Amino acid sequence: MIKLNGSDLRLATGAGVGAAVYSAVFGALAVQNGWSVAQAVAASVVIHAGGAQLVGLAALGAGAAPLTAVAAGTLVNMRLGVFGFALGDLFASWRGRFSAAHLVSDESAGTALTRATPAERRRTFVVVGLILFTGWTIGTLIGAVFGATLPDQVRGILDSAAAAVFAALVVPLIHGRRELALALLAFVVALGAVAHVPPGVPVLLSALMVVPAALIRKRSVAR
Amino acid sequence: MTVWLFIGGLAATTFLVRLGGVVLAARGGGKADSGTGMVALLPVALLAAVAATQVVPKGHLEPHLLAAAVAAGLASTRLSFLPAVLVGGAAGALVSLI
Repeated sequence: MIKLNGSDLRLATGAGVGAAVYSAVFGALAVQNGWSVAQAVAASVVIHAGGAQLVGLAALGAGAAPLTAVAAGTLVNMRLGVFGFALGDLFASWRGRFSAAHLVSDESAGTALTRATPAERRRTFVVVGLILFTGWTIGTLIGAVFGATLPDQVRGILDSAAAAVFAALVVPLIHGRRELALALLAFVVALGAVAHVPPGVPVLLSALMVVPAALIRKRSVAR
Repeated sequence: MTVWLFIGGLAATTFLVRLGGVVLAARGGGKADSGTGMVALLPVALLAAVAATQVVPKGHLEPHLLAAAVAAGLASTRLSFLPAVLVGGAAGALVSLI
């Protein structure tokens, strides 16, 4: 049984609202591209990965075959495997791991990793993950049903909140010069790569930046 | 049918990717981190990269998204998560209205 905690609920509410906004954009775009409301909502329930859903939607809209769209979306989602790995062994049983896997997202992992102990990380991950999943699904439904009626200016405002979520997640993880340098390097690498490589690759390239950062630490520990 | 094939296919691969990470962590993630802190650093790099991709959708820098990210990042050093997101959202909205 997970005990609710005010701090987790505040984190989850912020992440859930951000996800709802982002998923409303997906829902609206899906219906604009000829998907039914049921298809848009089903995608959010069973895939539950925003960037990949948008990339796949764009690929299908451009005439790509389903397999090509799946491959593009999977590439974007490779980072979720890394997030699952970074969370550590929070779930002792296979049943727990199977249930938890679907809740691994940028937000649930990012917030859980701000916690000090494995028990706190597990609690935060589950609370944020479940509320995020709910917000994601409801946001998609709202976007699919009402998205076409929103003026472009309002959509621009909603996009801002989605962009703010990730910055507000990464800054609390920075505790020293090494993390700050790594965050800036990863930001710049992704920014530079995004126009030149397929979606998903910039984030994976940035993940490689942990190797030099880790080696620098290993050398300083060895001394 | 094409859309359903895409949804089913991406749902399956996404679940396998997520499960793979969780299972790898269970089978020795702690050992892989000895002395380097690499696993602890991964979320910093990944989230910073995701934040970067958010402000340059389709490869073009969007000033209102950059303003939202910078304001939220700065605000999160003083405020908790939700107020920081609201500050970022408000900053982005202001820039988009100018």
